[in-house]
Amino acid sequence: MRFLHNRMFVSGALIVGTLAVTALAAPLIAPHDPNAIHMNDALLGPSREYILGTDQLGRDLLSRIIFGTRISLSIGFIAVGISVIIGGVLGAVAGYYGGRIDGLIMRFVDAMFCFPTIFLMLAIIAILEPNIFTIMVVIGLTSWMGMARLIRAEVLSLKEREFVQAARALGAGDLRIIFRHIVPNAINPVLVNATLGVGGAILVEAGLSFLGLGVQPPTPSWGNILIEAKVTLGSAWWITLFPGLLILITVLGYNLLGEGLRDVLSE
Amino acid sequence: MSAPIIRLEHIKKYFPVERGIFRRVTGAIRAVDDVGFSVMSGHTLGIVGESGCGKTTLAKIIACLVPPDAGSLFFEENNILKGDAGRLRQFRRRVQIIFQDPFSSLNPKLKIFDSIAEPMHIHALYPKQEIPDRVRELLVSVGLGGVDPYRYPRALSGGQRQRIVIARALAANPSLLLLDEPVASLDVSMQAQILNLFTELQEQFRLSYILISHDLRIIASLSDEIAVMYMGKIIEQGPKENIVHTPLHPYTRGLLDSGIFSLAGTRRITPAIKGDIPSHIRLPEGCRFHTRCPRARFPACRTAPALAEKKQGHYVACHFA
Repeated sequence: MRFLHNRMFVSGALIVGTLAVTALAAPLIAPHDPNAIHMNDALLGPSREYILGTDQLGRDLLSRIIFGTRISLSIGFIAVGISVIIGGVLGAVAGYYGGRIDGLIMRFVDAMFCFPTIFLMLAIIAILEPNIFTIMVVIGLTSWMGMARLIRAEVLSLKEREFVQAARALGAGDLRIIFRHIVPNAINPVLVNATLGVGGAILVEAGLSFLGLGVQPPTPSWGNILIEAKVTLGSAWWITLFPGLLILITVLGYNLLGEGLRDVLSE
Repeated sequence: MSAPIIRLEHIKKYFPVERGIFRRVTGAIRAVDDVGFSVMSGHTLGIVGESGCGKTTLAKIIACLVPPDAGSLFFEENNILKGDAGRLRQFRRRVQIIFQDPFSSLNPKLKIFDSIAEPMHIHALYPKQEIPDRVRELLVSVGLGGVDPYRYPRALSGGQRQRIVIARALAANPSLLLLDEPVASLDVSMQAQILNLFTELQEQFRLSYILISHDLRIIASLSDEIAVMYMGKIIEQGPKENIVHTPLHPYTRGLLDSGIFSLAGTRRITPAIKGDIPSHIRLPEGCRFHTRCPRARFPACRTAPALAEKKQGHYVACHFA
């Protein structure tokens, strides 16, 4: 298999795979209840009982990070899913039908690009209640424009290709042309970009949670573990180091996977 | 005399030339300018011309991929451009187009089998269980009986791919094939094989062809009748023998002299037709060929010559023919 010969792909897949398993099996893996408070054990460093130490309420950091994986990954996936769906449909319609529809959609994309995304997100979250669902939707709604441009460009070039022209000359309808001839050939770059996008969405979630606008405590997410640790940064280094490291590794994993996919698919 | 299978009348296609940020239309490229001809059932019409003369645009118009700005297209005496959806659907089954590049003519994500079966599905030609047999028959017809149809086209050579493309076109049981430079991207030995295949298939399936090429040698090998295009217009048309042996238009003579037909050793160093094709945006006034014509005389060539019958079935647009 050519996938297995690509180092970037393999290392990315290993990281992402491990994380996915961790997220799915969180209750089985976690040594403690992530929300159980042990005031007597507050701010303990890494030890045999608490492998990564405890936070200021004596909760087990490792367990909180393991459960945080669920939040981060599901936000990454669903946010990117939303952006692929919106960007995909709008980009494909713009590219395939062209003309005025294309102009209208792409000017809307330009307008969306002009918004300072972080302020848009803050404004929406200020109105709506900040919870996992809102975060997913908000990240999805503010990150589909690049996908729309990418897909439009793919569709534009594919629809002039001769096999598409031949299908049209055969009498194939729009739906058949789009789903049988255009979509399967446009999927590779979308897959690559979506993979890279998951890493980006996880970073945005961590950022929002750090600002206190993301996932609300006590639900553990990597971002809100970080902000709770801010107060004790001077004395308890482990509470910031491990979630931060994990965010780094996760985003790195998705980026490696995406780059690897790009290399393998473009061969 | 048999009836014409397809007839074009006064087909025109102008592409607007836009300038500036407001996209003001400042002119038009006359890609196809008042072209008309007919093809008899079972015959082959060859259309020859330099690149940029409007051949491919004409092919796309005939395949109903690009709507013309004016003119009529009759298929078996039915006007196809009148917008009858059922008639257009029939037309799309009966008329197939084969493009130049066999590498981009096949969907890389479809197996050979699915590419060839697609026309049968679109037009619901056979019950499902008969389709595999039909696909095998077609592969045999195009000389690919030994190829596994459940493979992807990426493993095939250019010549094999072009045979697959031909099989796909035949799958719809067409009457007319539009061949747009069908062998231009193949090497010479493969060209001869594919041209022979076209000859065999014409007899086997009683096909009519419209063959488009820049290469008069290829045109002459397959055509019954030849039309010569120059800057969007047909400037000479007639039976193959006449065009090849007694051309009347100086441009046709130039094409014939351009080394392709001359015997080895007598090949000219100087080009037979001097100069380049003039700008399509500012066409030469009068006869479009006068800027390159060795016989141009003024003021006669300031007016455009009409296509007129000079001999039986042999038309030419030149004041001095």
